[in-house]
Amino acid sequence: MKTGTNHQQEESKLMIKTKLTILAACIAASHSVAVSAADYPLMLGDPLVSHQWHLQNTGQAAFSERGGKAGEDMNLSLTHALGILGTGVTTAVIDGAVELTHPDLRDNVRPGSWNFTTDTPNLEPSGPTDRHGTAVAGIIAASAFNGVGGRGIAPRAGLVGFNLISSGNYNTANWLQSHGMYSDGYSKHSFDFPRVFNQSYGRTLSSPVSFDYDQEPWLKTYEDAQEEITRTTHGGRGALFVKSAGNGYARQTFKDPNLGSGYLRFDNDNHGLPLQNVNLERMDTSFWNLVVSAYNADGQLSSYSTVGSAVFVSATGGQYGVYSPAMITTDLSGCDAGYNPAYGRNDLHGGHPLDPTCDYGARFNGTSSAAPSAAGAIALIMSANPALTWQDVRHILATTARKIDADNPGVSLAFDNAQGTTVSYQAIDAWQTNAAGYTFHNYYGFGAVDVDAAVNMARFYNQTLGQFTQTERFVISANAEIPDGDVNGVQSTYQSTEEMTVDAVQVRVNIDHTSTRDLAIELISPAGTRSVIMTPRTGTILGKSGMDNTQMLTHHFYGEQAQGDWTLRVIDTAAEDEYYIFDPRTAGAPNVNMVHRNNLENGLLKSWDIRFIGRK
Amino acid sequence: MKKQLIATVLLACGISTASASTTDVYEAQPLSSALSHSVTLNGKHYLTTSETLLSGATITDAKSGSIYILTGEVVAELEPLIDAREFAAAHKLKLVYVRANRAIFAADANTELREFKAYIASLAGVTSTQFGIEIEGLESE
Repeated sequence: MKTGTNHQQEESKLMIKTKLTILAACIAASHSVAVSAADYPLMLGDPLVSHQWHLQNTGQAAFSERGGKAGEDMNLSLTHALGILGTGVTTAVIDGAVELTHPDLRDNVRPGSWNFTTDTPNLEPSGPTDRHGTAVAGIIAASAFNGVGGRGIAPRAGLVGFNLISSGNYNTANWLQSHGMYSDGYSKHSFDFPRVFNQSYGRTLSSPVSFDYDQEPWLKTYEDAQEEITRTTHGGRGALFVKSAGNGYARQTFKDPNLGSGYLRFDNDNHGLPLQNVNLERMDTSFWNLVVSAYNADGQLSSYSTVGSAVFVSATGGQYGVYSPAMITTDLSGCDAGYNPAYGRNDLHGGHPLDPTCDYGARFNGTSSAAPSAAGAIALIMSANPALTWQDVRHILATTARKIDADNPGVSLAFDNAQGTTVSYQAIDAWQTNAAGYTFHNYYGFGAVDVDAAVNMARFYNQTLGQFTQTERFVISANAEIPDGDVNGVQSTYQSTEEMTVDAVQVRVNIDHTSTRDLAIELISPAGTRSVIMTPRTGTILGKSGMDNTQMLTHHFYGEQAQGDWTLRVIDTAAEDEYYIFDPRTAGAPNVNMVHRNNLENGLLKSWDIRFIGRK
Repeated sequence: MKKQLIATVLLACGISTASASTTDVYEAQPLSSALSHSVTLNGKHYLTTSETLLSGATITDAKSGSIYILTGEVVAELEPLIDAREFAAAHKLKLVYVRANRAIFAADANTELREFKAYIASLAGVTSTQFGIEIEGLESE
């Protein structure tokens, strides 16, 4: 039996729904071609939605001490108002466990989840701290209009989960299973097969690593799998793998056999440069991963976000939810589980009237948040036009991304060269516009995902991109010395005869050097566009054996032509030892003074190879 | 005082300090510096704690310091038309994954993995084999 109050609420909901339907129809009629930059009010129906700055940033504090900058959000209000909510698109959360019975997730759960720990479809978290996957899933597809909690970016997208990164679960068979290579005959063309795979995980590198199929065949297994799923599923429309860029800009953990675990603290916050470049992590240099950096509620790079030329787009990640907003998303149910008990310094946590049973958190962040933000956006784009292929969706994202933090100057590194003169090297450029007219920044890739602009382009999409093409790797022998502490560096050129439009370029280098931290690597296109594919002063403090088929990926040349001279430049940016601090994680342990030795001999660029990925 | 503390800690750890400046300083070391055994897999050198490689063994790339854990899996590519289940039954192998011509077999806990891989590679119908691995250090970002 309905109570009077419930009846009134139902009537009120119905009235709101009717008004919103009329509003959506009006908006649809008046926005059939051009997308408006105006924000529409988010539809009511979820008590926390007005606090979710990443959906619509009004400057709200999101339960932290202060708010951000209005308008710095995913820009999805028109898309939601039009009723485009992710219907028909399943997303896969490759993570720890996901609480699929959560009141804000359960309605979107689709068949296919797997718990590798128990070997069952029951993905129930293993304990109160197995919480990461539930937060990720909520950013993508927490339900809307159900009267509880917040809302996902694609609140009617489907969800499946795989607890690959839970302790003891990572192996090759489980990696394949979780990345779409199901072994049970589940059809990759079926309606519920994921079209978006989210990977909010990564690692920290202290030295460059090689990308060599012969020596490490698992790399080929992974790439082949992701290429197959990307290109052949859903009748050839395919799927996309979204990956977090990492959280290593300002902080890097390092484990030393004698000192234990600690953080590396270089002078002047590592000269303002990232300790981790996205191109250090091999799978981030794979074309088949769409790598996402994070921005905060102020519309600037999240302080932790790893960056680099392999970043495709940027999306909402926030800060820490204490002084400025983090993300508001689903948390493990109950006040004793999830992020609620662990991070009390946030007004939402611990039983707020809008979340009395502590089923939501307001301190989730990281590129772990940015990746599902982009994944949810992709689900909306695919939902708006299911006929789009994986290539179309990438193209739409690149074309419509928003130039965020427009005045960001990049980072200039000043250092003393071998002659003792202070020189300057622009290690990260300000926003650049390439010869094809695409803007690019190593912080943000093509920019912040703009859902309304992307969905508008998707709805009226009429482009033919051409045949997808990957060239062989063209090997260039250089054998050129890299002068120590010399901003001019050394260069080597390859003359390409390929007639194709570039989507991305992969470069692998073979370099002898005993201090890879010093090295900056640039690739310059025939049109003159410069892409810094490896920033100097990374935290590769163990990089004493140079680079051996170390691969880097850049999207900076999107839309340019491959034909012509491509120049690789390698610059050694240090002529002396560097001193830094090792800050042990053990409470009370004293800092240790460290030295990173400069190379005693000039480095050597032995050879490099280049591969073009694009369209003919 | 702090300098004395540092010196004491370093001494206690058996660390040799270098005097590159007026301050005692320490140079970061890879975890592999404590490993004594060496193995070569696919032409690449790794350091290990033991020359015997069993499921769960840790191998450290001698050059980069990257750490992998051998999961006890051998990933095999089979010739077309070979039924992986029949193949596994015929050779008394534990099949843990199959899709198209790719099959993954799991070794018993006390099986030497290089021998296990070599055995599978020697069987008729197998076109390639590789070890299954876990990448150490992977974490939520």
